[in-house]
Amino acid sequence: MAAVEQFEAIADPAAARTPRQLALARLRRDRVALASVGFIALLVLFAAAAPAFEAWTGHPVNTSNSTGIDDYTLLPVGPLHGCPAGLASVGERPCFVLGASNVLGYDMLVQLAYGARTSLLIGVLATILTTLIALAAGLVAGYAGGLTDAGIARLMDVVAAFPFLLFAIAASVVFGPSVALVVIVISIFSWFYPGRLFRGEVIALRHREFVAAARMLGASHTRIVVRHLLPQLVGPVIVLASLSVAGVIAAEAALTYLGFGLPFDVPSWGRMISDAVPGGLYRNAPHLMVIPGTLLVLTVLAFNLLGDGLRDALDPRGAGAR
Amino acid sequence: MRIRLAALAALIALAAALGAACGGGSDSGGGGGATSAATEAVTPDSGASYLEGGFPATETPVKGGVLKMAMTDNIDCWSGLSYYGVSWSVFYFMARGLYGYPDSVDPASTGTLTPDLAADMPELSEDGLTYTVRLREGLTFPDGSAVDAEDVKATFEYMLDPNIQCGTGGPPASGYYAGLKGYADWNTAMEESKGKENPGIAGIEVVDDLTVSFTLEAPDGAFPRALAMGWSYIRPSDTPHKVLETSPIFVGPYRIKEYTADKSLVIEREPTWADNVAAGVPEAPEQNNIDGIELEIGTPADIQLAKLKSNELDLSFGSDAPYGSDVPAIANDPAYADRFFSTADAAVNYGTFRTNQPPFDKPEARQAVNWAIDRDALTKIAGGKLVRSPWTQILPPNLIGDQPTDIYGYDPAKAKELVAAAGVEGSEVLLLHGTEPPGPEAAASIKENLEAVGFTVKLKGLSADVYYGYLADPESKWNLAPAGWIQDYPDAITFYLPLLMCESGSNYGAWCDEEFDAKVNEINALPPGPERDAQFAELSTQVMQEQAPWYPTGAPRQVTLTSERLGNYIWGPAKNFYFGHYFLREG
Repeated sequence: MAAVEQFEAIADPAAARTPRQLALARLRRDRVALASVGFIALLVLFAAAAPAFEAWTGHPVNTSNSTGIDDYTLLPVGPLHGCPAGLASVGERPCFVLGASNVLGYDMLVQLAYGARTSLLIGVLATILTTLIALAAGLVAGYAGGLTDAGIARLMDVVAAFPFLLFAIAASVVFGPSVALVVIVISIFSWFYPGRLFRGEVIALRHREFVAAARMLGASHTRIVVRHLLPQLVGPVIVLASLSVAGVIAAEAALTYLGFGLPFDVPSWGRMISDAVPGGLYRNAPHLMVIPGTLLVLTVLAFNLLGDGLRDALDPRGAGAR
Repeated sequence: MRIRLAALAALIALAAALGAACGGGSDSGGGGGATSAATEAVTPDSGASYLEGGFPATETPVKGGVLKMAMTDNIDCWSGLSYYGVSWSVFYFMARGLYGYPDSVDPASTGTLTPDLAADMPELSEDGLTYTVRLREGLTFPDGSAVDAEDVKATFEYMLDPNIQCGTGGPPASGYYAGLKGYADWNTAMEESKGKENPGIAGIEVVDDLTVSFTLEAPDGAFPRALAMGWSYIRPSDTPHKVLETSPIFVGPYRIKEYTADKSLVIEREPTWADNVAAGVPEAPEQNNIDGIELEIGTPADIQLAKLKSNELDLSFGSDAPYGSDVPAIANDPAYADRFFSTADAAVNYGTFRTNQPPFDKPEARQAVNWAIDRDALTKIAGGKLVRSPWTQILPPNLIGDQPTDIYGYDPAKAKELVAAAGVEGSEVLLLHGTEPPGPEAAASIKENLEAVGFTVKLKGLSADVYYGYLADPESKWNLAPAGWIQDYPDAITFYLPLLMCESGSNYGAWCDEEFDAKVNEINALPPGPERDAQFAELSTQVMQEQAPWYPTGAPRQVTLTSERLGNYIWGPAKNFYFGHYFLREG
């Protein structure tokens, strides 16, 4: 990093910049990451606008619409069904901009928007929980060392070895599907990976001079961990959190698709995709799978690419550094 | 209760019920009853009218060929003790019992009991308690041993032995034999000794070599039908009481040639069958045309559909395909006009109320639900009228015809009035549903309906493997739960006895009315026929109007796509697939 910073300083000698400024500058030059940020921002707006879509279409969320089902084929109607040219007065007639999403005739647009809320909510909550557990485990194990480290490291091994899907299915059967259960189950089985990385970072940091200096000045262990080591992990946390959101959204969709994730009355992209499977619905009405599937793929891709961009920006030693 | 594979998914799903089914077809006793038409084929391009019509006229069959079929999930066992309706259809085809049903779905004959190994219809004693059956002379098992009355007695003790069942929960249809004198004591002895000491069922007596009598504790006019269920074919008396992979030997035109667990089943002709035909067992010249059956087990539904379309399969044995949106898609495709059928079943999708807890301890609250539910919407969710018809009675229309169809309609205003009258506005109720589609969708629709009339509804999804266990647990929490039932044999008692009497094993909602029980017992003493059917039908209407122990939602239909070469296809609730009637055109 030192060499790169030197290079940056020479290139722009008038402004000696902080590492954060340098990272932002690198991120601004990463078009893929910027596009990902743009997509995620649009997604957030889309989710926030869910009630507006309800009002616009006249189709409340989770509400059946007989006009959303074709009387002859009994299939959910396709995109732009019943819509006037230019979508001028959508709310005045049974118009389905993106079609209907299931055999109840739910409005695809409304369900997608509320599903985005669900995905983002679960993605963020599970990522926060995962990160907190991973940070606590990584900091304690890395800093304390010895038996504590060994114990936590073995716990990480056990969690990594545990069959996530079986546990998730069993938990869903026992406790019943819910948002809280999905968040907890995904977090419980996701923290070990960032936890290992944080532990490794802390082990590398704990013998550095600034830690020794703090110790000599009489800082408590808690102060050293919280004030001196934790800030050093901000970069990895940001990168891993971004990647984690993508993983959580995909995991929730997968669990819900399998019938062990969210309850039916919680709008979810995974549920929308799974609704398209029985009885070959996806063959006869492909939009049921294509639309939510595409949005899911793009969302997961955006968070993953953003994570890559953040990693490159925060860690210019990496192979992808620009 | 017979379990039907497709029904299993469809019923649990749907009204969300499982295809817990009971076996049988339509009504009536020795010759006819009030069975409604069961045979409707499809004219796929005619929109709403495509339910009109019937099976094609019977062709002159040719002999030969092996029928090929497939199923997604295997049944619980092929020992002959399964409760799965499809296995009964195979055993009806392969094996013979005392009585059976003709290979016809003509409404006049579909429920008609006919003697098979029995020489004649049973003689009933004057007190109405003892049925005496005489076997034909000269019958032999494939090993050459003679069939006698001891074999008959031993068969029923084998079937009902609680220690050798392939399903859980004991002999699944034992309720229909529980009225036999001494059955309860025998069952207890068998359970306690784990089958080591068989004291014999006192009510089954060997009168002489060819005569056996069945004595009941109380009159049961439909008991001869319990002797003709799909699992009650006659086995040798020396059949060991142990769990078997495939059935013991039996008298019949076919036999199991080979069974590979969860992979395949092969059926071939029984070489000694002609001896029994010579002894008088009925076999029409146009019957038993195919040389055998090859069943693939574990074939996914999508692959089955593709193979059916390309004529690589003749039937989807598990009724796995077509399903869902493929049903109207195929019905609307003229290419399948001659080989796509939607046939009325003798089954009902219903929801049960937990009647011993508020708010559904009040009849008005239960009636309100019946007025609140949009059954047409549920029918669409299930796949449309090719898959099931909206229905509001306890007894399905294809079991007993001429039942009023308008006792409940979709009337939210009336439902609101009843909710107010019952004083249950705002009551929070828990609606169970299966997690397999369309269970959640059906539950969501009902939730909307009920919330529109003043209930607050929470949903709870349960997977099929725990659904009925949860429902049966008196400690579990729920207020409404969808279920399904298929007749075990063509008689209304196969709905009342297992489902709605105070001591019924599948009376999940604990609805109990002693007057109703007394009335059922009174009617059950009548012989099969129009009078018995009319009284049972009247009771269904009366109890649904006054007490509404259920909220019936629909009457399911059997959907079948056959190969082009399969001739004389018919389907009916008495035997399901009538393999003995089919033939293969390419010979």
